[in-house]
Amino acid sequence: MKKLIIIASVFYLFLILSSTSSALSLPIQINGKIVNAHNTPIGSVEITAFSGGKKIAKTTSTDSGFYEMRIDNLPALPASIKLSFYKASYKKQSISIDKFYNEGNLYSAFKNTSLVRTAGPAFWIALAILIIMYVLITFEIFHRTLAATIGAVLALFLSYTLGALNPNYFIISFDEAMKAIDLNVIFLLMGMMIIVGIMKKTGVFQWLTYISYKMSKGKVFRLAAILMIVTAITSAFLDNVTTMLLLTPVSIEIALVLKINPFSLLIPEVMASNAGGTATLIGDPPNILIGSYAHLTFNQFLINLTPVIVIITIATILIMKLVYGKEYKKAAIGNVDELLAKLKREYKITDMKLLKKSLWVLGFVVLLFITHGALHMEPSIAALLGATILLVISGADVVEILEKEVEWPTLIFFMMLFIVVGAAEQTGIIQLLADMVKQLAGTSRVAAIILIIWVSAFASAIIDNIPFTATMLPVVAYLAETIPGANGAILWWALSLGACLGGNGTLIGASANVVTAGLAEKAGYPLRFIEFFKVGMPVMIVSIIIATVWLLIGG
Amino acid sequence: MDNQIVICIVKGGKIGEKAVEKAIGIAKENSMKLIFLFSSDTDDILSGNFGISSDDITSRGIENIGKTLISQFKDKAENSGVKYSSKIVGGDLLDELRKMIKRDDKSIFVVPRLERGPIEKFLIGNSIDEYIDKLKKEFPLLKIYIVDG
Repeated sequence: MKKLIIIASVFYLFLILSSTSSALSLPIQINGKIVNAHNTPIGSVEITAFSGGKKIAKTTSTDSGFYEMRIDNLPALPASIKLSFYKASYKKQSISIDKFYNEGNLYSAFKNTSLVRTAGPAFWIALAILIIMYVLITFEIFHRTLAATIGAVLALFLSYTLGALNPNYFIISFDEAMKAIDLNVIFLLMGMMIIVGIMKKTGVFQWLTYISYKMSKGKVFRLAAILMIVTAITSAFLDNVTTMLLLTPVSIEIALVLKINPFSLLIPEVMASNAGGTATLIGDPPNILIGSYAHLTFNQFLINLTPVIVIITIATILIMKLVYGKEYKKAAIGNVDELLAKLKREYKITDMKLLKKSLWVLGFVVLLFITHGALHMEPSIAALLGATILLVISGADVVEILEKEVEWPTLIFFMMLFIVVGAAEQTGIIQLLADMVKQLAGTSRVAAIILIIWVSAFASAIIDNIPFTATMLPVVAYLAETIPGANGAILWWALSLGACLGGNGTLIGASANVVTAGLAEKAGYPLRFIEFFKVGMPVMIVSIIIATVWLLIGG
Repeated sequence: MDNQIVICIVKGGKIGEKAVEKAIGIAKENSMKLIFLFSSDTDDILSGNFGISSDDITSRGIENIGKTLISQFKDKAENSGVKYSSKIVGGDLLDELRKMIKRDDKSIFVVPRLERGPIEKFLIGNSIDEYIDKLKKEFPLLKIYIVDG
């Protein structure tokens, strides 16, 4: 009897032990990274694990493309686990994992994978949205902010309606759209708008024009050259449209008194404005976009672009002497002192106290720009800090400044544009464009530089350089990674020089050109497209030649 | 003819000069008073595709252009013995004209029409022809002389 009880107990114990150890005691962890053909990480990929045809786990990849999946409570270590990878605009992919490593506290497996793009409905819709947005902006059918908003809203709306019914129509998620917006760009622009908005109330920019005339001592070509230099330096720190808005009326007035064609002063100034804006990180929106995307510092722009811009400005001055030399000689410089007195009266500094405060703040902001790389601080922080300090110490009406000096339509345009370009990236349009450009450039660094700078210049002469630059950012990033010898910033400089200097090519090449033409027409001097083209296009070509040589000799 | 005036839109350049000469000629012939009118409003240029509101500083700069132009043209009026005055307006040009002339006025309006190609019209817009059409409807007795290049 006793023997029977012992045997039964052992058997019963054996049954209990075997039932508890029938569940796998160690979990399985699978890690990996998902990239596309350009080796760019892919986020938000749905990864599903199957074993024996049954779904056993699910996860999503992070923005950096990594995924981690933990599987618990399997009855036994399976011979293999099948992983299925899915994201809209990519071909669904399945892989098998049949090797697991016992790490003591778990079984692990590591599997990287590359997903292949597919040109499904989402691709074509996003492409149509991008093209329509470009057309609406280029032909000014709608205000550019509205055009970009239409594109962004359409991409999102279709994703959450058609995309909900059929994942192949999913273009971009709300999270991805928000991540696509580069807030560093938005806040940098906003900060500088506030600083400039307060500073211009002192009348300092027009006063600089009076000083330019004073320094010229009545010599008209010297006046034009000084005005060009002043405009170029101003544009390196202010946006070009504001620069021309402030300087154009004074320049026209001087031309009227001297009885010369105002275009002999205005066109050189606007050329200098577009060139000057290329010299620094903050001078032109394409540079702000490039700097933020490629993490290029203020100092890098100064070192790499300012010298070539100085050379280009000198060349442009000489070209203007050729073009307008006769006009300058016709000037009626009878009474230099009278005009000087008039300009001094009309364009004096109206608030010296505010000017001093503004200059201190601007100096501090520039110092922060110079050191932002070393501080690992985004330049937008410097701009916002400067704007905040100036708002506090100037006593300016915050609401008035925010309403009148911050160009909200421009900021919203940028935000919507980022979303549209983000949609183009998510659906593979940018990758396709990058592949096409790569095919043209091959493995030649020289070909890539020439291609980027010249195509950017001519494109910017015709279409708005901001959406063009935004679209080109991931393309240039890909080329910089894949073309031998191009992994520094040289391709970024090519894009910057092409996109900014291209604005001189035609009247529609830059907003500053159109604003100047509008103000000149106000005064009774209509600037015709062909008149601008005859001067602007040669200047652009010469500038791009100089810039190309600069880049090829190692800048 | 107390309520009859000649209003000349002031612009620079050759067309502006032609318009002023035309206006002076009409004023002298009909013993009418001449008003040089210059608009410094920049909203029409800036608010469109730039989203910039009219800037005081820019408007003041444009006003100075107007003053310079008027000071250059007033000598011509003085030499011709025509009585004149000048007005620089910052608001909408049509609104300003409504303040200056009455509906039944047989005033005369001289407008320089700048030469613009299709691209310029498209870019800058705001053609003077739109103003003229509206003026003709509101002031049927207003005589409008358009001076082209």
